[in-house]
Amino acid sequence: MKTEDLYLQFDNIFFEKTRLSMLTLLYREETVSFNRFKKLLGGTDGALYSHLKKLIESNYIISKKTIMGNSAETQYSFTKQGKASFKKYLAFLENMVIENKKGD
Amino acid sequence: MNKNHNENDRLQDLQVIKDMLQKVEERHLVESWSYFIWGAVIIIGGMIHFFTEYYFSFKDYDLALKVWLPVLCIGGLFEALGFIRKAAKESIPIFTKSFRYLFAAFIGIFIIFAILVITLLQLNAGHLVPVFINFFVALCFFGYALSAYPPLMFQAFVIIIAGIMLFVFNIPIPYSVLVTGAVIGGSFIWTGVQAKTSEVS
Repeated sequence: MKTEDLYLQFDNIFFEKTRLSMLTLLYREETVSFNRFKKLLGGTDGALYSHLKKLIESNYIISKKTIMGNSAETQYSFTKQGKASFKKYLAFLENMVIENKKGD
Repeated sequence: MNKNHNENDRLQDLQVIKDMLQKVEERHLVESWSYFIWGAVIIIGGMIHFFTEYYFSFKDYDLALKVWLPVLCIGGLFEALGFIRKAAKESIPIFTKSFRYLFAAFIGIFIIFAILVITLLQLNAGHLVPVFINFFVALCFFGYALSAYPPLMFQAFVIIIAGIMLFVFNIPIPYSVLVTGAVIGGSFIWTGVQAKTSEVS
């Protein structure tokens, strides 16, 4: 299968800088709170919520409200499908780099 | 499906992933002051051990229970506080699977450490305990360096060299305890300075 054909298996959700950063952070830290996303990615609450909502609607991540001290906090983690897709995408990028090196 | 995402975009994706990982890669798990407290209690513990053994000839088990157990409890307590405060400050949830594993690993490491020290004492090899402690703490520093903060490799090597010196030159107790306390305590304080610097920056 050609690289281009392989690439079509991933949807648009991945190809946005903030969402890709969010998925990378989730991959590294397993569970990430909204405040941590805000601290590391910056941006407004509304924009961050909108990106998170898209990821939830696409079934890449799930959210869970937990009590932290005196306040409630929303935490996000990968769904099985989301984690598998992200791993697949990382493998795809790795292959792309290897193929490029071979071509040089 | 995305048909307009070309090779340059994919390279940018790689850059985004790399940047994000770099942002979270080198970080301390606890606040800097808990390293300073660890360093101070270890150095003070080493000095108390030295003076009580030198002047009052306290036995190994007495020293383990009356000096080193309180040192571990005080250090552990403040480390736990430093960890909780750091997690709260960076909005990192602490009741996650990976932190539960980390906690279980700490307990396991502590049990192995205690069993090995007691075994050495029972075999009348108490003079090897400081050497063993140096190697054991160096191993812990290596583990921490690999999982969270690579610059700790330096401290790990300094502690290993100290352990080798104590072994090769057969430095007797209580002098070896004093040296071990100073080297390990100093390493914690140096780590605290690095953590403080990264907190400030």
